[in-house]
Amino acid sequence: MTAAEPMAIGFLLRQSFGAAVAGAWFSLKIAVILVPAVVGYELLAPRPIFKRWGAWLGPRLGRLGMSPPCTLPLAAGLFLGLTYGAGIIIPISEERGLDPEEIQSVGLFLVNCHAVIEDTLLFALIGARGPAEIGLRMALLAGLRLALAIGVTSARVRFRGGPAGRDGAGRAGTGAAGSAAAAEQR
Amino acid sequence: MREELRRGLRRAGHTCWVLFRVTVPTFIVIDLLRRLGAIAAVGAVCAPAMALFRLPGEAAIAVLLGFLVNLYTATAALGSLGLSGGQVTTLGLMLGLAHTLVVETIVLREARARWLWLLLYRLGMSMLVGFAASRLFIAAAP
Repeated sequence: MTAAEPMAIGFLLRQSFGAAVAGAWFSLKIAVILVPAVVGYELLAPRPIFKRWGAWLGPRLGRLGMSPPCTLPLAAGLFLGLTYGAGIIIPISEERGLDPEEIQSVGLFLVNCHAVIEDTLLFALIGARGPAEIGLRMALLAGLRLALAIGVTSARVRFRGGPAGRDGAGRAGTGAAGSAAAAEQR
Repeated sequence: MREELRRGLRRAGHTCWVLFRVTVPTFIVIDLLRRLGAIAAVGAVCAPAMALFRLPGEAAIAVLLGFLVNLYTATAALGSLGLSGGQVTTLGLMLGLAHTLVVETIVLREARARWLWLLLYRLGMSMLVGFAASRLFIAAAP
């Protein structure tokens, strides 16, 4: 055995340790936003304003094959990132028992369009000459992804048509109707 | 109120643990592959394919880094290439649709979405949009 071999192994281990720390740091950065978001959801979910917002968005989400509880994962994914959106959907689907087709709809929407501010800003900044070009590029990058997300997700619901698609729309409908009834009581 | 707070913290902790368990080994493996030169070698092989998108061969490494690691490493690799605005926009659209595929696909699987379908969709749509954008934003090479 040459002296180089244990050195190489030591080097490799050190590198792997560095990568592990980077991975842990990455998880930590996500946790910093994920923990308050999940706790905030638990605190806000029973509030009437949250229900009214869901009722407004409900029929529109139904067209995308989602029911009102999908609002938070969708918003979190759209603005913070896919990891946050999909991360938040795990506890929510455990609690509400989301239909697998709804989860797929949220997933399809978010793979098209997520972290719109951070991701687009990164590319808009490369070699851009002035704020006008940055703004134009951000609008182009974000707008096209959002249009794709809405187009493809609603096309999937229309194309599938099956019981799952109708179920999502139907549930969104009852959610809106239920909230309307609650509003009348008030 | 307190009960909701406790339940929220427990749920958040559970989710963070899932993320942590997935992210750390993923980072180690990808880092190892990068240090062994595997990612660079694949980049060289992929260079001719980049011509489809009117992009230089070196851009393949940025695309692979974006696909496998994240957008930060991809944009860092792009910075030194001196690409035109149209080329950056094309890459931004391609990588915007498909990036950090390992971690994000595992997260989607944990959320119980049909991950393989979504992964194939992302790659396919990335190519399609990249091809269309390259015809719109990048002048043909003489």
